[in-house]
Amino acid sequence: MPVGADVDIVTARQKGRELAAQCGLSSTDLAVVATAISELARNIVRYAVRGEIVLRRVENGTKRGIEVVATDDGPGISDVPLAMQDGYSTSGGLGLGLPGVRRLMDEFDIVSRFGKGTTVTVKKWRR
Amino acid sequence: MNSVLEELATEYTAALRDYLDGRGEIALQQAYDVGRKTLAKGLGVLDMATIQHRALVKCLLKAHTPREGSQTLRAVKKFFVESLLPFEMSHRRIQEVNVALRESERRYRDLVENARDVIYTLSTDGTIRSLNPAFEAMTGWSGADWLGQEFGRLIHPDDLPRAAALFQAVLHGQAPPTFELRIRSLSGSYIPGEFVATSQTQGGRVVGVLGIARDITDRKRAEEALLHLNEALEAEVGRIAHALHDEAGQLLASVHIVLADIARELPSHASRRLQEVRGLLDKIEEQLRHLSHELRPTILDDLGLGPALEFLADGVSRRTGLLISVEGSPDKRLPAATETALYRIVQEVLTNVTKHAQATRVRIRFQRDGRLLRCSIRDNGVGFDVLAATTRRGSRGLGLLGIQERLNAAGGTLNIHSAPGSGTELVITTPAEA
Repeated sequence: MPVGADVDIVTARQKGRELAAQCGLSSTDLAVVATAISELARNIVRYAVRGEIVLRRVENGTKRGIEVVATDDGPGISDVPLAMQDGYSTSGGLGLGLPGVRRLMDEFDIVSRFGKGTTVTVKKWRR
Repeated sequence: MNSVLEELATEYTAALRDYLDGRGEIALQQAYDVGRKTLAKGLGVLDMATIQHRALVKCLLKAHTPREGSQTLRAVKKFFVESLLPFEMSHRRIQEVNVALRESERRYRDLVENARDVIYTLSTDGTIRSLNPAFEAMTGWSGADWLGQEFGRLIHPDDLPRAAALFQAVLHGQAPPTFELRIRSLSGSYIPGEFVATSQTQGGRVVGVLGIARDITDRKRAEEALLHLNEALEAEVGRIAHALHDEAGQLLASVHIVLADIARELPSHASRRLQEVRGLLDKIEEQLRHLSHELRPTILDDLGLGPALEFLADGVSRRTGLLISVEGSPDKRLPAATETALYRIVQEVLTNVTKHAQATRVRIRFQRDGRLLRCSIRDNGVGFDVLAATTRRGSRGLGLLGIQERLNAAGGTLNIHSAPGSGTELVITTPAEA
């Protein structure tokens, strides 16, 4: 689903919560997934203006879970390890933002090319 | 409840009411945002609990039926999770930071514990705050026994005034890069230590001193051995100079007297031939005297470095044709060891120039700079690659090494400026006072 304004963030959270519930995640983890979507979508709106969020069920052997892929075609991040450090962005200083998402989720992957946009892929498995 | 908390509580309660009115995700997002704001304002989890409680009470009071009541409780539970998630992220960050800190602390501790140099910290009043195990290995004292004691008790009494001045200088960020002090060991002997120290600051305020002390007994021994060796060499050279000047000179004088006797008994043409031989003998005597003076110039002892160097330059000029000028002078007499060292260095340099430089001119210049004496020796020869010459083990490398070591023993330094094709300048700096 496209993300370009704050109202889209709410929609994405709603859908994420629904899909996570279908995957059998606990009610606390539903909120965790919604939070990850919030932070990822917030980044898109703030730094890239627009992009999209794709939600997917994933399986790995006996594990079941949800995958959130946030993609934008914004300016990209020139130094990803730096951007992943706490305190790099305004929200990062408190441990929020991308570093916060990494710590909340079970898997985290980021690909960014300077000038070509950024893709963040995160997963949360059913416990 | 302060105004910030009040405002957040109002926003949170409004969102909870919205949720109860069926506005769903947008209200949950607001709960999350309030949590985020609360965290960003520097408030804590307990403040969030206060906000939560306030909203819970307000909404429960409006519930008219048990069903509405349990709906409210379920909503409140969801809200609490949302609003706590920012705190959870922050909490996990702190956990991660703590693990990283512990790891980094362990690495540094290993470094300090295993270092062979003593690593210590002092408080601003000079009491010892920490010592690593190297302290015990070096001094024999138990480190724990010295914690809280005044560091001056570990310093040689003669070094104490200087140690106190250095301590203040370090606190004010004005200490020299390294300094030497003698450390008292358990056995009562003193260990020569080389120190590096810096002030420790906390929030811009100086809170103490961090230092490293190294046992330089071996280096001191080597320097002393070199000094003795040089002294022995000087004595030996003096003996040879004496033999050349006095003993050989006396023999030559006797030869003169005998020849004069013989000349009287000979016919005049033969006597003239003998006169030529006496002329040659005079030249030999002159050369012997000169050689003897260069070996151990009495002029150095009697008149000092300036005249001795003029004499040396004159001799070398005459032998080799080099134009040598001596400009400036050390002004006053230097410590004897320094004068001898400088004389030998200039001698060695002039030998080098004669052998390798293909120079036509050499300029020796003295300058006093406060308590330091600067001596520059510059030639217009072919020059050389300084780095290659000082790192290779050739004869010239050794010559420079010898100069360097002589200077170290006299507390001086050597700088060499040279490049192939552009001449050579050696700059020697030594303390001008003992």
